[in-house]
Amino acid sequence: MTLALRALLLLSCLGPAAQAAEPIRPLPREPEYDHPRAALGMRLFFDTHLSSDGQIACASCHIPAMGGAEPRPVSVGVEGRRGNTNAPTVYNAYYNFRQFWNGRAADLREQAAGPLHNPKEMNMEESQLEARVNGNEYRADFAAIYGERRYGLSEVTDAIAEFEKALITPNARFDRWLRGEIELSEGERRGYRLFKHLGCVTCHNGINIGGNSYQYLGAVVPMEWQEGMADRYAVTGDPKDKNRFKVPSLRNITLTAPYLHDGSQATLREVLETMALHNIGFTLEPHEVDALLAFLRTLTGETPAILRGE
Amino acid sequence: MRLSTKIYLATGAALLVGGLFFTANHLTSRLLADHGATLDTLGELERLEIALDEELFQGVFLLYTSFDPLHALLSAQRSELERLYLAVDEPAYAEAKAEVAHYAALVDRKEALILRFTTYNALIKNSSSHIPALSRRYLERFGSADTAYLSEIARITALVFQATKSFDDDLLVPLRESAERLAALTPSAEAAQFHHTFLAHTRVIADNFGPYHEALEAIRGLPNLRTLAEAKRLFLVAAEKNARDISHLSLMLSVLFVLCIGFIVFILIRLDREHKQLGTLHHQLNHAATTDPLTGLDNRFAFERAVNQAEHGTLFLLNLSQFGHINDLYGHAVGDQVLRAVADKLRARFAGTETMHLFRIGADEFGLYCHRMPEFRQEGVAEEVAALLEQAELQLGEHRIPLRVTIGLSTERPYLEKAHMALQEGKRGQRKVLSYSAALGLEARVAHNMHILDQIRRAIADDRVVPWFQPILNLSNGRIEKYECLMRIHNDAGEILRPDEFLVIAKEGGLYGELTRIMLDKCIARFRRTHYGFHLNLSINDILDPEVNRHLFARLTTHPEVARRLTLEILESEQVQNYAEVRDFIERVRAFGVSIAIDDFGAGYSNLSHVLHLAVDNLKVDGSLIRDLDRDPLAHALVETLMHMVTAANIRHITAEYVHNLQILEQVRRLGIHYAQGYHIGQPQPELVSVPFSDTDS
Repeated sequence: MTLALRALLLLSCLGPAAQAAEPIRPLPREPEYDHPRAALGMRLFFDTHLSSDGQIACASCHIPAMGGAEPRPVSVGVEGRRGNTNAPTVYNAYYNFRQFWNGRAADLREQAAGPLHNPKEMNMEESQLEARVNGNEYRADFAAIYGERRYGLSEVTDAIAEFEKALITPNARFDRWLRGEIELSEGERRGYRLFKHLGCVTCHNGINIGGNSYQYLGAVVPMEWQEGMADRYAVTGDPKDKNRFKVPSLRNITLTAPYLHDGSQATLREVLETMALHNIGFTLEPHEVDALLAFLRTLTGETPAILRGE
Repeated sequence: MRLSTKIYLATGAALLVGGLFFTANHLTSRLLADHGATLDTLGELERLEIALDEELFQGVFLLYTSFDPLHALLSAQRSELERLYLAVDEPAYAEAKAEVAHYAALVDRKEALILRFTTYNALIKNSSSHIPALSRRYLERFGSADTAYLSEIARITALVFQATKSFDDDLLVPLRESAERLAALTPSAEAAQFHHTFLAHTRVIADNFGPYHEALEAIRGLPNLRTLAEAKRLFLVAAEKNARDISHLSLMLSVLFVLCIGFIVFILIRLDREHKQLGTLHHQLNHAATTDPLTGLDNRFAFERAVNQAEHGTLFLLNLSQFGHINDLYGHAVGDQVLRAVADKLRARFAGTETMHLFRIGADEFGLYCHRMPEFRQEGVAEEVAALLEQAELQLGEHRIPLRVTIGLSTERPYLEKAHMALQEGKRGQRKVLSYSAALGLEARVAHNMHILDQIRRAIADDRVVPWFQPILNLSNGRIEKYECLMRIHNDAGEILRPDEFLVIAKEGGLYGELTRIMLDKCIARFRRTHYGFHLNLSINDILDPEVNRHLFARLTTHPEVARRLTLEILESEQVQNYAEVRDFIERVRAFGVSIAIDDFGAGYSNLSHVLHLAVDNLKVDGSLIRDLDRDPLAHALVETLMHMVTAANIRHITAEYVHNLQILEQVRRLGIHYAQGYHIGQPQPELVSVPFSDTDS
C-alpha cells in the first residue's frame, strides 16, 4: 500500500465521517438531565391523583415494564373511557422531532399537557391540578426547585419533561455494535442489511430509528382510512395528510406490542408483514422475517437508570 | 459665590459629566458587543441556511440518510432566530425587525416544505430502488416469454431512472402512458402479485414525483438568504445610526467634560494668581514689619530675628547723646532728618561690606552688627564710627547740628542686652566707647538690683516695710517735739535695709508709690494717739502719682487732727519739670494744715527762686553743710548767708541735719537755726524715744 492510501484509510477511520455512512446513530450512554427536577417529575409521572378519578397516572399507559408503552390496543382513561390510539413508548421520546402519533406537540412539555387535560385520559381541570400540586405532598419539592409561588401546569409539565429526558435506554446491542464494542451475529447483520436493502431505513433512521419524519402508512399499497384517527390530517385537514403519521421509533420494539397507532397488530411478525406489504409492496419470505426480527431484537436497550433507582 | 464653592461645583459637574461620559462609553462598548453578537447570529443563520440546503440536497442525492441532521439544523435555526428577534426588539431596529419577521415566516414555510419533502423523498427513493429490483425478480421468476410485458417493465424501469435523475416532469408523461399500458396487460396468474406490486411502485413515482419536484423547487425558490441579507443590511443601517447618535453624545459629553476641566483650571489659575498676590502682600508686610520706615534700615524686630541667635558676632550699639534735646529744640521734623542723615552716613560707610548689617534699634539708637570681626579691630571700628558722626557738624537747612555718640559694644549673646549695659555704663563713666565684658560687673549689678526688687516685693507682701523714727529737737526749748519718719525694710535674712540701699531701685521698679502709701498709713497709725509732730519724705514722683495723691488726700480727710501735725519733706535735689503742679499740690495739702519742708536745701541743684515761690514752711539745710560746721569756716559762712536769706523770705522753721556732736549743736543754735536732728540728738529707732533730751548732757 502506498503511503497516501494508508493515510486515506487512517483518515476514514477518524471522526464522524467513518460512522456517517450508517443512517442510525447510538443513544448516549448517560442521559443529561437535572436530577431534582427529574425526581419530582418521576413522582408526578406515577401519581394517579393527577387524574379526575384518582385512578390514572402517566405510568398507567406508559408502563415502564412494557417498554414505556402499553400492552392493550388503545389506552383506557378515567372511568374506564377508551381512546382510539395505542400509547407510544415514553422511552427515548426525547429524541422524537415531534410528539404524539401525528406530531401535534412540538416537545415533551407540550405533550405532557395533552393527556392531563384529555377527558378520555386523565381529565384534569386546571384548578384540580393546582390544588393537587400545591398541597402538602408536593409543596416542599416544588419550592426547592421553582421557589415559593403558586404551581400549575407549567411546573408540572416541566418536571415531567425533565423526567422523560432521563428515560433513555442505552447500550442496546446494536448501539454497542455501532460503537464498535461488540460483534453482531451473522443473522443480525443480515437482518440489518435487509433492513437497508428493503428500504425500511429510508424512514426508520437517525438516533431513534424513526421519530424524525412524517410518512404514509400504506405508501405503496394504500390502507383503509377511518375518520377520527390520529393522523396528520387530524392536525392539518389537508387530504394529502390522510394516513400520514409520525414514523414510530423501532427502539425496544420487541417490548412494545401491540403495534401501529391503533394497536391493531398484535405481534412483531404481524406488523412486519403488514408494513412490508403496504409500505414496500412485498410479501416477505419467512427467512427474511426471521432476519429482520433478529435485527430488531438488537434494538432493545437497558431500563433507564432513573427507574432502576440508581 | 465663594471660590471654594465654585471649585466644588465645577468638580462635581466634571465628575457628573465624566460619569456620564464613561457611562456613554460603556453603553457604546456594550452596544458594539451586542452589535457584534447580532452580526454573529445573522452570520450563523446564513450558515445554517446553507447547511440546511446542503443536507437537503444530500437527501436528494442519497438513497437513504438520517433525517436527524435536518432537524438539528432546523432546531438550531429556531434558537438563533429567537436570539435575533430579541436583538432587534427595539424601536431603533423596527425595519430590521419587520424583515426578521418576514424571514421567520420563510423559515416556517421552509420547515413545512422540508417535512413534506422528507415524505416524498422516502416514497420516491424506495420505489425508484424497488422498480429495477422488481424487474430483475420478474426475469428470474417468470423468464422472458412475455416480451410485451417484459418490454413495458424495462421501459418503465428506464423512465423511472431518467425521470428521477433528470428532474424533468416531461418524462413523467411517457411514464404515466407506460403505466397505463402495463395496467392493461394481463400477466400470468403466477405474476399477478408481481404485477400488482410493480404497478403500485410505478404509480408512486408517477403520482409523487411531480409534488416531490415541486416541493424541492419551492424550497429552492424561497428567498431565505436574500431576506436574511436584507435584514442584515437594515440592521447595519440602524446600528450605524445608533452608533452615530451615541458617538455624538460621547463627543458632546467629552466636550462638556473638557469645559468643566477647563473651568477648574481657570479657577485654579486665578487662585494661584491670588496666592501670588497674597505672597507679595506677605512679602511687603514682612518688609514693613522688619524695616524702619524713617531710615529704611532694618528695625529691631528684624534684628531680633536675624541676629540675636547668631554666634560669633559683634554688635556696636550707637546712641545719639542728647537726641531728646534736638527734638525739643528744632522740632521732630528736624529730629527725623537727623536720624535719616545718620542712617545715610552709616549706610554710605558700610553698604558695601557684606559682613556689616545696620539696624535702627530704638528712637536714637542704631545697631551695627558684624559677623566674625577680629577683636583687635573692634575698638578701631567703634572709634571710626564715632568720628564719622561727630567730626563734621550736620548741616540741615540753616541749622548746623553737632552730634555726640556713645557706643556700647558686645560680642556675646544676647548682644543687644549686653551692648545696652555697656552703653549705659559708658554713659555713666563718660566714656565714648565701652565694650561689654563680664569684668565690668554689670551683670552682678543687675542681679543685685533684681535681688533688691525681689526683697522689696516680698517685704511689701509680708508687711515688713516699717517706719523708724529720728527725734527732732526744738532748740528754743530743748524738747523733742517732732520725729522724722524713715523707711526701713526687714529682708528675708533678718537684716534691715536703709533707703539708700533700695529707694532708687524701688523707683525704677515702680514700687515707690506703694512704699509711700505704706509709710503714710503706718505713720498716721503711729502718731494718731500722740501729740508729736512728724515728718514724712515725699518725692516729686509721689506728688505726680495720682494713686499716691488719692491715697494721701483720703487719709488727710479721715484724720484731720493728725494732718495738722504732719510735715511733708520734699526732696529739693530732684529735678522739678512742672513747678505749677507742685505748687498746686502744696496748696491743697496746706488746706489740711499740713506743713511743707524742703529737704537737703543747699545741696547741688538748689534753685532759690523756685523754693521761694513754693511758699514752704520749713527748710532742712543739707547735711553736707552742717556735717563739717565745726571744722570748715566756709561751711559756717555759707550757712550764715543761707540763714539771712531764708529769714528774709519769711520761712518759719529751719532744721539742721547731721548734728553729730555738741560743738555743732552749739554752732547751730548760735546761727539761729530752730530745729536740729542727728546722732548727737538721737539715732533713728523703731520706736518713739520718749525720754526728754538734755542738750547739756554728754
